[in-house]
Amino acid sequence: MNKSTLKVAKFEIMRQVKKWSFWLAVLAMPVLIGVGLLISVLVSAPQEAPTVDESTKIAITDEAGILPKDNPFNLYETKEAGIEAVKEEKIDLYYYIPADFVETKKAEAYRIQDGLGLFDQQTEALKAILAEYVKNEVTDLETLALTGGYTIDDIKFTSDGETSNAIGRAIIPAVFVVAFFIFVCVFGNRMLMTVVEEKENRVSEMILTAVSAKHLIVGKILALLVLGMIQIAVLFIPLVIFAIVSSGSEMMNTILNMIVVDPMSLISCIVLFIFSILLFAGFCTYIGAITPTAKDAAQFIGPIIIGVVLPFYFMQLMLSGEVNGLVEFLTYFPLSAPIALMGRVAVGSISTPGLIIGIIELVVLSVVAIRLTVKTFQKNAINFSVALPKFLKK
Amino acid sequence: MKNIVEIKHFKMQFGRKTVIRDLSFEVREGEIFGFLGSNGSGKTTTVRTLLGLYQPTSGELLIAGKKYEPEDVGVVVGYLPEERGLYRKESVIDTMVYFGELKGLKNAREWSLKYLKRVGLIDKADERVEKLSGGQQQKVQLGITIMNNPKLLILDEPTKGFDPVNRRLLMDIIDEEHEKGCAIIMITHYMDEVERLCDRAILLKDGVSRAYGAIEEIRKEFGGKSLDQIFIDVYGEEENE
Ligand SMILES: Nc1ncnc2c1ncn2[C@@H]1O[C@H](COP(=O)(O)OP(=O)(O)OP(=O)(O)O)[C@@H](O)[C@H]1O
Ligand SMILES: [Mg+2]
Repeated sequence: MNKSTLKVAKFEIMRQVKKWSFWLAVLAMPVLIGVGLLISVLVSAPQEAPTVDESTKIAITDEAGILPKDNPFNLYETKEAGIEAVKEEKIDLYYYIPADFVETKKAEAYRIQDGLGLFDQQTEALKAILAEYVKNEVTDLETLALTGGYTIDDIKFTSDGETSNAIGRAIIPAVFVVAFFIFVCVFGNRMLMTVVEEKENRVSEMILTAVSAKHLIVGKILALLVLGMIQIAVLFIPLVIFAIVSSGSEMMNTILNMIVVDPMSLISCIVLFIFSILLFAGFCTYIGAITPTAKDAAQFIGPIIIGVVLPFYFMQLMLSGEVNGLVEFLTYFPLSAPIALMGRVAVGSISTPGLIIGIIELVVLSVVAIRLTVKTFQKNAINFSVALPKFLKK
Repeated sequence: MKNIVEIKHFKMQFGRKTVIRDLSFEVREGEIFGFLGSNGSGKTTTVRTLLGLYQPTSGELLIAGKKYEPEDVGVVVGYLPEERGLYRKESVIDTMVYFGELKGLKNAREWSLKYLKRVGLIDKADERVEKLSGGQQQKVQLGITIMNNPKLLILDEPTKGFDPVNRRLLMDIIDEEHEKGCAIIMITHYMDEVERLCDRAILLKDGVSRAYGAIEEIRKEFGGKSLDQIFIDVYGEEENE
């Protein structure tokens, strides 16, 4: 890294960490996130679920004997055969009702994982089917079947036939999404201002004869990345410490066992995260380079952040794992691409070629955006009016 | 004597407006050079282009035979821009040290403290820049301009806003740099400063040079009048036309 870049970065970091307002903002973030999560949990009502319809192929092996022998769901004699059929995708949903159903009050459902499946209650379909077949409640079995007072273990497979742990797999990518989101919220404005302030304070003329525009801008971006890492560390270090302190406890073990570390998705997320941040920095600093004052620049930050968090508005769609035109648009639209790409890695709804295209897009765009910023800043550093690019002027 | 600055057929347009039509002049090593012209005649534009802040429409602007690049270890240049500013929320000393480091100064802190003492601002070292008066901020900027022992100083209206005492202080500092062999380009509207300090000068009008050379030669050319009078004569032509 260039010496001047480092000198700029050092100065920019020091001037922030010296301020108590910086630390206040950094420490306020965990609190804000906590409150935000609480509200979102309270507000979010159970969502409309994709349920079964005529097209859903269902099979039931009923060892408890609730259903008549000639019921249309009686396709497989044994549990093994039913599960095999699910894995081979001959049927969509397979239920197994054990012989000791009355005692255990437990049935089992098997299916292929679809997205994260956070919102679907497909498995509840069994209750309607059983209730329909019970004509008169005389036995305990019939009562149980009719009242639905039992649980259904929901066992899911990946499309490769492995037992799926979609949520466990999503945890690590989700951490990257959260980290990126925090960075955007806390540092978007700073990214804009770091460039605008040069012009607003009229420092640019002095500083550009001491350091090149490229080293100045890159140094400033670097500084904000370091500050962003401090922010993210402040958020996650307490979690890590908590995990270490409570390691060995049953709850911690359950959580840790749930987390699946998939090397490919981890690497993808790291690459996506780095270039997402660089791309975002490129966007913000570019706005900073074309606007003359903080006031002019400030009106751009809202639309940028909305663009970035767009995938959150379609959270349910993204989590469902469904892929349609809208999802593809969000995935490759430069502003929303970072969260959409990392989100789809989390859900596992993106193909390898699709992911590679996404990564290439982020890498190329972030380099282009930062270079454009440097060029624009160099040209407009001492031009104290809005400098829109030519194609916008017409 | 060798030239430290060479400007050859410099032309500058902003959009359709031509600010400099065809300007050529040299500044020699170690001399004090007066860069004169009415408001809006293009002085600031010329030095900005010389320092690479603007791209010329055509022509060559060279410092020690090369286009200026910041961070280039060739000729050390100090530039006091017309448009002055510093990071408002930073302390005086931090700002000076930062610029010192960018300019590759080893002992930036000691140098800055010594300079602040000299210009009577040592008690402001830890103040935020925004708490200083306009003139005090200018003194800080002048310090930044001369801190790395420049071989070429470009001062765009350095005395603007200074009281007589500080103007004298500034003249002393400029003199010192000159003694050390530094060439100085001075943009100013005060002809007395030019007569007192400058070896040579150029007078800019309508995008071309109207007078250029040693001060005595220029005066001789205009019939021995004072520079003030020459300035008024040259710019008065406009109204007579
Ligand atoms: N970035 C720019 N875009 C458009 N026009 C410009 C720009 N910079 C300068 N000009 C124009 O160029 C002309 C010369 O400006 P300049 O600042 O060089 O004059 P000056 O000789 O320094 O004047 P002063 O003595 O008032 O400082 C002016 O008419 C100004 O409007
Ligand atoms: Mg000027």
